[in-house]
Amino acid sequence: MDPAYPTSIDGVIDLVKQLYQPNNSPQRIVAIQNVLQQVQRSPEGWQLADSLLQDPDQNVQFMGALTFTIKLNSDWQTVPESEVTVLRDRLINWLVRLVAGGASQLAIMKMCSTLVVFFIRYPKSFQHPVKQLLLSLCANEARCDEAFDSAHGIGMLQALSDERQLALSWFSTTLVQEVGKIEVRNARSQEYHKTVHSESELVLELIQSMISMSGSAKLVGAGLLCFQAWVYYGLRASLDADLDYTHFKALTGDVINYLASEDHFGTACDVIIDIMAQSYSFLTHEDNAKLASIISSPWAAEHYQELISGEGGDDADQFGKLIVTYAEATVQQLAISLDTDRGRTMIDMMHGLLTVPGYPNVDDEISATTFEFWGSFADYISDNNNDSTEAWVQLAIREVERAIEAFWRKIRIPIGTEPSRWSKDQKDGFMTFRRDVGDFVEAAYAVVGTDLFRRFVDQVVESITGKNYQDVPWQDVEASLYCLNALSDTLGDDAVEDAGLEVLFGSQLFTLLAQFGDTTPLTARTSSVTVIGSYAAFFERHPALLPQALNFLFTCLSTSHLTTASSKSIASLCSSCRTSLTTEISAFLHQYTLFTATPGADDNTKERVLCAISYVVQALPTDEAKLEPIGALLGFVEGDAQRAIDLGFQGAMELGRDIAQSSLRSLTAIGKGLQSPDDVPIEIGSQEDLGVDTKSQFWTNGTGSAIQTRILSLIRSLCSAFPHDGEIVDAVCGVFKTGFTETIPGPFCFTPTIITAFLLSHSWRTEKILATACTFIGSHAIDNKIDIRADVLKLLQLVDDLCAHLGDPQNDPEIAQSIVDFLQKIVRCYPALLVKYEPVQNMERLFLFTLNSLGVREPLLKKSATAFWTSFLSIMGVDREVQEPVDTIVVGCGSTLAAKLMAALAGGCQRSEVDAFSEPLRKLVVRNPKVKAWLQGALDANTEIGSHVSSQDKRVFVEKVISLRGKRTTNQVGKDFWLKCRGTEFAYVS
Amino acid sequence: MSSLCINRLQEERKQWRKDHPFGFYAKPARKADGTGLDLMRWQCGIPGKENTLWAGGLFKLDMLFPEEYPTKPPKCKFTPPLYHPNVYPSGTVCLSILNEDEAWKPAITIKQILLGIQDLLDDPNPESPAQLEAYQAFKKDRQAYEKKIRAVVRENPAP
Repeated sequence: MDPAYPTSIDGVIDLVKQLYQPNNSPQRIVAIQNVLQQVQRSPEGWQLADSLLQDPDQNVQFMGALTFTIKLNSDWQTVPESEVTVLRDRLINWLVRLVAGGASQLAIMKMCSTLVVFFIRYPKSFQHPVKQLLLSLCANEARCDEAFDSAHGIGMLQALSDERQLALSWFSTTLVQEVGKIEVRNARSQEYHKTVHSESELVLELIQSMISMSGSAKLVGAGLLCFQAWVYYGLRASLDADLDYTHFKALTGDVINYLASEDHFGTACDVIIDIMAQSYSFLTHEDNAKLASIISSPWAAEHYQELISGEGGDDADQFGKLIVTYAEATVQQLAISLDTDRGRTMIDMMHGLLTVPGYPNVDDEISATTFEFWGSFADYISDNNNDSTEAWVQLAIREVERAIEAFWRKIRIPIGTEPSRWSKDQKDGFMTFRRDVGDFVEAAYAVVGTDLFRRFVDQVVESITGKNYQDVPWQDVEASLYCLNALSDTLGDDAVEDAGLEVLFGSQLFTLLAQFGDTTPLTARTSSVTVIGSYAAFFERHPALLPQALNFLFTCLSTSHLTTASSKSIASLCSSCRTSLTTEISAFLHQYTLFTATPGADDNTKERVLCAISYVVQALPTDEAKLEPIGALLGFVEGDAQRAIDLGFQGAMELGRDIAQSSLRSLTAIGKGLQSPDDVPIEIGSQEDLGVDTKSQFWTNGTGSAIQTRILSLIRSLCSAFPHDGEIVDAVCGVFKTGFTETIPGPFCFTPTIITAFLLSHSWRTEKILATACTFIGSHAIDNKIDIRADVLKLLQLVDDLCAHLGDPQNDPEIAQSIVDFLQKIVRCYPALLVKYEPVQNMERLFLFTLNSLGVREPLLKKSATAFWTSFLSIMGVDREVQEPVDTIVVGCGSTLAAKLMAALAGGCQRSEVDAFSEPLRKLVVRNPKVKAWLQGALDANTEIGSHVSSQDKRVFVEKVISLRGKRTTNQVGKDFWLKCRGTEFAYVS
Repeated sequence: MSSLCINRLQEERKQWRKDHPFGFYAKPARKADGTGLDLMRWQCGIPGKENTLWAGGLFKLDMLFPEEYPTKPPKCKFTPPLYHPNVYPSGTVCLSILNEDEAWKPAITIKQILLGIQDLLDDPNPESPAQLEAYQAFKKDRQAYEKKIRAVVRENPAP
């Protein structure tokens, strides 16, 4: 049952007590809180707060202070100006009374934070908050700050009881925490920062008094926290508000001393870590020396031993953080002082952190925190080793090598059941650690050089040479291969490196793996598979090693966990080394047959391997030579397609459809594989010089046409076996697209007539068909070898019909968008076909359709429509027979277009769309002398624009747009106008 | 290059190396001429969230910083372009915190951007579609959409 709204103070107190009763259900707590909040927010809230604070119960007192906070936040604007200082003194009096009455820390702290809220709300009425509180706490009642004299103040502080010092420090701590959250750009924030700064001397005195060695543990703890908050705030304020807080440096030394205190180690450590991470220069020379000597002291050695034994508690972890942060802050100094005792101690500790027992991010939390240190250590060497014979460079490089060795041990994947006990998060953590090590290996390579690479190679080769298969330490081999993978992007084609790779790939590693693969840990095999793919460029230079590597990869295909990685590596090798592999095609086809017979042969892998083999087929020197292997590849797909058709025939439509789609994707993969590689420079005109016949009809009309016939018949039979299946049509479009980008005729380059016929006969799959049509038109427009205007016109007629059928674009915005995109393509490639389209009224209907598309709700369609008009309005200086109708259309559509653009920019579109609508506007202004009248007329007639936009505003906007003559600044003018029309609600984003 | 931009990117790199969420990666790319790192172009990876359709995938993304960074946001581009309603056909991510005119603030860190994009994966914003294909499927044919996402995840498996 929900609690009733209380009618008396006692009722409220009772509710508060109920709230804190143990065993309350969460629902009950929420219900009570809801009622309490209503009471607190009510007009009686202020009085209620007083009453609650009078109660002896600490929870009720807390609720009293909270009620003041709530009222200050919700009703502060309704407090009469004359009452503000009264309210301030009322709050101060409450704090003083709570402290004097020995109230709980909970209630006093809440009262402190309430006073901070007061300060944030009325800074002018609380100009010396800390001083005033000090005076009041001394006098046991609210006092004004005028009586304060700073010499006297210090004496007052020293005479203050512990409880009062605590309260003052809590207030001071919260003060800077809250002021620190105020946005710097806020003009008022400067005032806050200045007030806080004017109190800083006194707070410094307070902290000094609290953390003096004679203070109680509680006092010292609170003093340290107060110092932490002020330094954290002060370091930022000195940047943001140009205020000086260097006087706080005076206490850092005392804080460092507390590192040795058992009670305060944690807090002191936190403070020092904060300072070092934020601004190392805050530490004075003396602080630094003190810190350095502490870190190399026997005390530190003890903590360090505890830490690296892996059995230390929170303090040990904290100590670890201190070491790491110190090392990060002093990395440059450390790199050049490795020959000193202190330098050695420090670097040895950093190495030690990498030997903490456990798996990183699983049960070792410390080693992963050292990446920033080691990364910047390596960066520092590579940025500064102008003379690599310098002694410090040699020493520093040795430390990087040592670190690599330790990281290498850490990334080894445990064998056996260990990983299966890890949680998902632990597994992710471990894998993330490995990747971070990979990044460090890359950074280390920049300083260690080829030696580093060679060391991994040697590690692998030594691990396998002369050993029985079962004695090979596969964990070690895997870790080295992993590091070699990480280096693959960094290595060039250096002879020394190639020699190393020859040793690796010429070793018996892959023979061993191919032979005994099944009993090798999967992880080792995965990394082996990947390393081959990573170094595809090497195999291009050393084709003799290819067969052994590929043989291994093909054997891995049938292991389910390796199929993805091995098929990717196969694809990578076949793509890079295609010319060296042409003699292997029949062996590959055989391997593929074996692979497809295994149960793990999934669609993705099949596609990838078919694509890989096609790369090699592409490299065959003549079209004739390609016929047989392409026929064989097609044979595989035809087999799958037939299975799909049979299944469909038997009624298993779902499965049949899946296989049908997959076989079409296989066909696409073959088409992609047969494309000319990107890295062969192709220049129109020069191919003839190279003896390439760019007009060859081998595939369309010659011997090769048998291949095209087979492809088409496969497509047709699938389309008729699964009629009206949109995804099948999509997949067929994918097959055709592989031929569009080709500049040299190939088996997948069909004649425009075939393409157009397919598109037209499947126009019910409108969006995909029109998107494919756009690509088709675009690709022919580039090389312009074949005249496809007749085909384009047929497609345009289709679009005309669709447009007539659809009417308003809003009726089906997705189809409308395909139509507009298609029309834009026509405008860019064949504008004459559109502007001279007949009958004329149909042509007009197409333009009207694009105009209407500018005013719809859907952002994508609007964007397409603006792009259409931008392209259309850009047609200038073309043949007269095209330019004239274009100009006529501009005049005909001008005022409507202007109205659409103005409606959008006058606040009708989204803010992010203003740029898109500004583009056609920029083109329009330079097109016709009537533009000004169109724009002005459109704005005057627009009834949606609010009355806060005057006709003067509208006129000025039009003037500006016209005078800019299409310059880019039009967009900004458009944005300003849009903001003005939308009103102030959006002002914050400007 | 402005020093503000470079200092900030160095600080971002430092903070990332000190601590970053599991499963993600982010680092400056190598310069094309092989002479070190290009701080203005980062290569990142975003894992799909657990218990969503995207779980198990790792999606590569380039972060391109303009000279005016951090006044202006970086451009985030999935490579290859990702099938997702709020990813443009070019791969560029459409997200309010990446838009100078919307929610971008100079204080937003690389870590926050990547986490924001990770959230976007399973929680597309139908109000700002960026590609027709995924947007249409998401709106009209959720089954086909989910099937396609599963295929995308299979193609981009996390290690």
